[in-house]
Amino acid sequence: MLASESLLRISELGQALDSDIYDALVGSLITEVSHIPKLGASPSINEDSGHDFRHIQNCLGIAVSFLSQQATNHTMEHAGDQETLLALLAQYVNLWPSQLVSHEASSGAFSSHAS
Amino acid sequence: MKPLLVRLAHMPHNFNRLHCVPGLNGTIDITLRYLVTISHDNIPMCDILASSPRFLHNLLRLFVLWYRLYFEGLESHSVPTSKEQEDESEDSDRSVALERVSLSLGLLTQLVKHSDVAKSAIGAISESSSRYADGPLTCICRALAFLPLIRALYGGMSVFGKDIRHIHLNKCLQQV
Repeated sequence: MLASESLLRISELGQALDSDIYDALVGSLITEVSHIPKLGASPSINEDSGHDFRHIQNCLGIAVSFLSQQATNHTMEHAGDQETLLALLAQYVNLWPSQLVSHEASSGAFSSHAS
Repeated sequence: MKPLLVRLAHMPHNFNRLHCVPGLNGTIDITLRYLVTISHDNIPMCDILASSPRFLHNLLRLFVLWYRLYFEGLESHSVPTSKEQEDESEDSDRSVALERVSLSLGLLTQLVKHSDVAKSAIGAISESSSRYADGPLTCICRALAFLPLIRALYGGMSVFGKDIRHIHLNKCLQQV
């Protein structure tokens, strides 16, 4: 957590990060994002999990500034990890609508999914 | 079952504005920004995201949610009110909504531009809803019709400059 906040500050100052750090970030994000509870299923997200969200937010912030410093990201190493992260983030995004649309869960008006 | 866009148009109005779980709320913009950055001109990454129909479906839902919130904010803003504090909070809600409209549309645009899977999935959604092109649905259809223009705007930019995106997207959305 502390490390990610320091890195965020460094990247905000415009310092270049090397790709090892990016790989470590992706690894850390995979762990954190895969531990996000199924938001709709759990009764509610309590304050404790705010810590993890903050960490995810920091890591993604650093990752974005790293990627935008790269001329191209086609040659990224460890593409496999990145693909895993991408799939996890897609699942995470899938949880948002039910959290943002309060009425939806109870009415079931919007409960069907495209298949 | 009604087509997706019909269901989108009849989405309940009483969603939690923009404020859900505090922690989750803080990660929305940066998650979208990461996805936009990583999928930018990157076909394999676009294909991974587009390979999940549920993701495309939810992304579209989120786009419509924020799009409507932004415009409902605009309309309610034109009514004079004496409560300045309320105004400020509405302003900030609208700018958060606009940011999210931009990011989700940016991501949709990248996917449609680079992934054939996404292209055909979104094409099928717009086709199935063209028969219902009136009422609240019209704005969504128009928004979808605007994808090529917005794609062109985004396509010409190598970096997602915040100011440029806001100016262009704002103009586009005003005309929708």
